[in-house]
Amino acid sequence: MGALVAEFVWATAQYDSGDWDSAPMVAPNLIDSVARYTTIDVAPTGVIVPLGSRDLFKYPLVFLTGHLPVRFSDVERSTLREYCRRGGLLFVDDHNHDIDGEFHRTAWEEIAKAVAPLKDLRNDHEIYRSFFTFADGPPTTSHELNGWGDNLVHKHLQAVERDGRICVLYSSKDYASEWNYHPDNKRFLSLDNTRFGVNVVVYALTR
Amino acid sequence: MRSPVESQLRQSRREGLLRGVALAALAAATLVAAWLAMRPEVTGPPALRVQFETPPSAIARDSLAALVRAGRTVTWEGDLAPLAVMAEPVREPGTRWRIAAVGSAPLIVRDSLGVIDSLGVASALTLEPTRGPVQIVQGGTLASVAPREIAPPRRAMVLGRVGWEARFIITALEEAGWNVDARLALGREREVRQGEGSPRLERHDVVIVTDSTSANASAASLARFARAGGGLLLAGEAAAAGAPALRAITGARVQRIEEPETESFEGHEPTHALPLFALSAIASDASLLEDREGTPAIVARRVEAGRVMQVGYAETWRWRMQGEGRSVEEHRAYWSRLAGLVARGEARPAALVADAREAARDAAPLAALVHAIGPPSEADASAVRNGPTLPAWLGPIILLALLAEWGSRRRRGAP
Repeated sequence: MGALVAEFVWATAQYDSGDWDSAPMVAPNLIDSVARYTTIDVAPTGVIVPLGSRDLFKYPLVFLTGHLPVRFSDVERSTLREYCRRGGLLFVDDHNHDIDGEFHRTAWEEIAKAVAPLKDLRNDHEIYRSFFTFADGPPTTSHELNGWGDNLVHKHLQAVERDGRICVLYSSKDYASEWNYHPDNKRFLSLDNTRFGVNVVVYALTR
Repeated sequence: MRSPVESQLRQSRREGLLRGVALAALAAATLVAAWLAMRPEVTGPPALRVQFETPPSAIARDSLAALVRAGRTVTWEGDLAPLAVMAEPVREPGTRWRIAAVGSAPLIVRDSLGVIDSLGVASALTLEPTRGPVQIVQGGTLASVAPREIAPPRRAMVLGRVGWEARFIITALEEAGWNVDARLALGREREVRQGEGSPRLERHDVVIVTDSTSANASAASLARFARAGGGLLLAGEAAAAGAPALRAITGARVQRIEEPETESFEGHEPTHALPLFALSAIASDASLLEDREGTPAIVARRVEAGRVMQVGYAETWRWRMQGEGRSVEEHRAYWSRLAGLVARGEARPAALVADAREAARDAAPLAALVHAIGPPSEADASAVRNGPTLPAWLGPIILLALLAEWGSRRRRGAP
């Protein structure tokens, strides 16, 4: 008698406004990484889950990204609030990599309305050691280093914490662009740039 | 040869002597009787008969018991209601107490601030610490107990593989106040640790295992932990762990997995929406704590100094995430309660304060009264006879003296 169902399913949030499906290859790439580095029983394909649906509660870790302005509906807002109360973790990444961008400004506002204001996450937080070790905090992306977007290397991620656990993790580093490629192409990288994604998954599954 | 006069004188002397003895005996008996009748009471105190309308206070009860121990006969009557209350700390973190009371009519629960709740004839409730002793009132009868002992936070260890079930059990226990260590398997020879990595009896009250691989890998040490007094909870797939060391201490076997009876938590018992490792072949010395539509779901068993529990429900995290209403709180309470049921021993002792000891003496006032001075009795004339009594030997002596006097007179021909 083995496990009944896959322990982990990568879920991408679908919201009414904006372009929620701007990075479709993140899911297969992260699923590949989780299967490659860990023994976590991961489902081979991801799911797309509406942010305003109770189905959101089936997935305690959900990824959300986009370029365009984000305006949550009342239902999305209340569902996200309840999702956090129950122990879910929403991982939001700005696909623009631009702190003056529309996604950034509106996403911050919506997260503050729905849950609580985001705050800088210290760079020695356990999420940077949950599987791989990132001694300097969040790994930089090629999009930061080549000057795209706001031409900034963001030193911190932001988070809303609840009872010592992250319930919303926010990144301006554009991991959505960084991880949005076919997993077969990892072989061309000297260092797998999705490793921090594994840390996020392990953190969500253990804290 | 004696002369007739001499013989008559001798006989006269004998009769005089006999008469003197009889008179002396009669006089002595009369004096003894008079003395006994007039002397102050020294042979025993008078019996005491008491009528109660409500149970006496602990002090009054102690006073009566002291009289009984001093030899005094004390009897009582009264239509006192049987009433008893007990309190024990909830074996979970925090300071809550479980109060159980039994009486013969509906009961009122109160403390020094006022009424807290009402109870049925025999029921229980869980309370946060109260202001002063908890009092159970039934009519004019009052029982009290003082739950002042503070249970310290308790420590659990979770073993398993990285996954939602282990993670949300840890979350639930921590939210309920447990200190939790964890060791969760991840990757090749990798694991995620929180706190200590191995169960230790001196540190952990309960170990919860969430998968069979972890359970089988640590079977011997887990069995030792349980036998030595620890609590072992095998949850979900771990309930089916087949290592011999575990099979020797578990109270049931798992033969099959039952799919959830419903896909939705809405409108159903939460556990009906969970997969179930169906328990069977329950040992004669094990206890079935819960079933789902007749299928054993939770079985517990004492094993030497400890306890082992198998919880057949799997993926209980879905209850917290997908359940209705207060599912977060219910899931939290569910795991804290299960851990508390199997956790090692009682809450570690803390000194009871003085008034707690005092109040505990009134936890069952009628039973305490019966213990102190005996059960109630009907009114008995002999029990209330007071005053001095003559000794039993005095009657025959007086009778003999009167007979001697009568015989002496007959011989002398005296009137």
